[in-house]
Amino acid sequence: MKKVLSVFLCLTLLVSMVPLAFAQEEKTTLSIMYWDATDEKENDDFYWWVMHTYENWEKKDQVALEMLPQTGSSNDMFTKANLMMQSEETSPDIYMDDSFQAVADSAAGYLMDLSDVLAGWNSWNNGSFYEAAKSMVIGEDGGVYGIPFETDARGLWVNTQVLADAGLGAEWAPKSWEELLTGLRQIKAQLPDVIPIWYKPIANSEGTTVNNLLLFLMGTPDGLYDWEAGKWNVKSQGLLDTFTFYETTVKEGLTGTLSELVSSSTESYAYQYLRDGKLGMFVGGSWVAGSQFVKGASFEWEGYENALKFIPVPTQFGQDGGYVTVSGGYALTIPEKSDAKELAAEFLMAMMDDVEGLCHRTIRNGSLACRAINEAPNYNEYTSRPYVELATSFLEWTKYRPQIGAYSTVSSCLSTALEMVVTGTSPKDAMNDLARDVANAIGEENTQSLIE
Amino acid sequence: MKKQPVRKFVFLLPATLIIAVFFLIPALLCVAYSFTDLALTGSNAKQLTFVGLSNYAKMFADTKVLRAARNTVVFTLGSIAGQSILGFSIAYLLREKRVWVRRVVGSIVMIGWVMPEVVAATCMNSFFADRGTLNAGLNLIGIKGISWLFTYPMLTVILANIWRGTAFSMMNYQAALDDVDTSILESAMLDGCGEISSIFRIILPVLKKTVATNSMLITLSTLGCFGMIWILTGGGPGGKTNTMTVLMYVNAFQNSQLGYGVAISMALLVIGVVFGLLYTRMLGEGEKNEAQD
Repeated sequence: MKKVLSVFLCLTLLVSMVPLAFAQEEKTTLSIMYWDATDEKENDDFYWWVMHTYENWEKKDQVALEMLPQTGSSNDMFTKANLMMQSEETSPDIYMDDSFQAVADSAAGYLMDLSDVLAGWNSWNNGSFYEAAKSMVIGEDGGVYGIPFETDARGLWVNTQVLADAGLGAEWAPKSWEELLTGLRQIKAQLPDVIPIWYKPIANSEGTTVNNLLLFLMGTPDGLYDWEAGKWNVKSQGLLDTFTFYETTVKEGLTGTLSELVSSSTESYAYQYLRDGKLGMFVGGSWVAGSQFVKGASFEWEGYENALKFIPVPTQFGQDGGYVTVSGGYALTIPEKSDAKELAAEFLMAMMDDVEGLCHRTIRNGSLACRAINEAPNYNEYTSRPYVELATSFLEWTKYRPQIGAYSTVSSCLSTALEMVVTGTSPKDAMNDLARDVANAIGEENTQSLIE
Repeated sequence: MKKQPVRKFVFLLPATLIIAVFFLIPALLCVAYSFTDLALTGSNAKQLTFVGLSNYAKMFADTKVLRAARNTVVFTLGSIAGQSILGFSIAYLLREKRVWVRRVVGSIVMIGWVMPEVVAATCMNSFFADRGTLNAGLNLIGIKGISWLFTYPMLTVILANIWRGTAFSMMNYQAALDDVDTSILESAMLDGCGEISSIFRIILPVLKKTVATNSMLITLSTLGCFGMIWILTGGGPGGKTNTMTVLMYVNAFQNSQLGYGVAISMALLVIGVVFGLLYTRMLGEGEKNEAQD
């Protein structure tokens, strides 16, 4: 009896494996690596988009998808992806990369140049994409290494009630750093219990650099990168002034308690204080309201649409059009070592042409679309979101992070220098340390000083 | 007789192979990589270039490294002192106590140690946070709380590490204390030796080897400590708790400069070797003294 049973079991096993074997031979697998920070799995908006495209894709029957969600910090994902893309065995076929990191990854030879593919794609060439966004993922060699799908803008989230109570008026909009500081001082004078401004000053964080520091640094006459010389400006009056601006906010008590400001949950403090009317303004990205204050989010705030305003950061002296914003965003890329590049490219284009899926992702993620999506059935939901139109209008002054492979390293050093300034190092010392750190990391020949 | 060496070799082979594959080769590779510009991304990642001693030259010019080395030594010495003294005291006080007392106290002390580092660090974070358990407790008895992680970051990470590591010292000393001959203690007591002086004049000299071994083991685990610091302070504020391991991680995985990160880990290795030599010296001298006696 036992014998019969075991033979039977073996047979069942064998038989059940047959269709599996056949199925595997037929379908090509596309693996997709993407960032799902909070492990939402099937509820993730990117996942939804991929599945939406896949269900309606003509090649659905020939292709199977393997989803590779990455949880945790984006930095951990970059590290893992970089290691995976070094080998054919582990490389994903599609990788959702942050645009600034994609430039570095292209310099490393990890990503496929999509120029030829895109040349034959209607949507890329008929003006559907914002030209500025297209340039986000152009590598140092001029190749196009990814299709950007979402972008954003950065500015000041202000609590209009605080502005009104401080006597600045809800319509207050500073036109230079001096006006901004005057406003902050007035808030402090009129409302001693309210913190005038909050920003993220944490070391080794791209968020610190791009969501905060660059908004001020890019608004000085000296930029971060000198395109003509091909060098990073690691010492400049602009950098010194920027650091001094932050030093002033700390010294005059215009920002939060240092222990909270430099803690790992600095942003949570800001959101909470802003909602509770204890904070005047927060330097942050256009996605903040849509991801933090909406119903069901961590800092749910009823009526935030009326209490909260999004205003642009002024340039230092009001020069160059008066305002500055910095944009980033994610892009879809194809690793050089993928074994199904053609198919992956086809799927990418199908995803970008699936405007409904893209629109869904953009709405849920609180970002701005990189291409026209007005044909999407859910387009109304997109435009009816507060701040979308406003944030889109910011793109007029937008600056992108320098598309140079070394940017991520420079950014890390910049954020470290800012934390030093905020915790008491003098702007000058911080700048000297920064210059040395950057020179150390990317070579002194790639840096320059604009002042003595 | 002649077959003996061959047999020895055969028996040693599996262990040697495992050590070679999982330890020796990676360690040697690390040494090799520290002379290259190995990077995770960016143009340096395209091809590996030999850059000679430039990573090390960079390191000596980098004030952060010096500061991190100093922080590492402070962190390590603080942890050794705290864990040893506390561990020994608990073990000594629990000696000859009832079984259930030993069990209850022992288990409580062990909690920090059996938890994974990340969990322990998260617990410590909510304990020391501005609105954490510690400050709430202080407020209850009328003392105004302070922001531990910001005002005394180094002290706080050391305390957190002591909390986690004390159990290990306690167990070491408990085992060793059982070996101290009670008749010596009793006769010392009869000769009029007090409790404190019996600790310093009898127990500690007898436990000398345990002290050295225990310190050595704590040193090794503390030098490599990363999760606790990373979660509590991330090396901040303003680099005040930036140790060599944190610096290494930041350079290798956040700035993508693996070559430089590996070079820093080599410096960490040197610090470890110096400590190691000190302890072996200490043990060696102890043995010499015993031989002379």
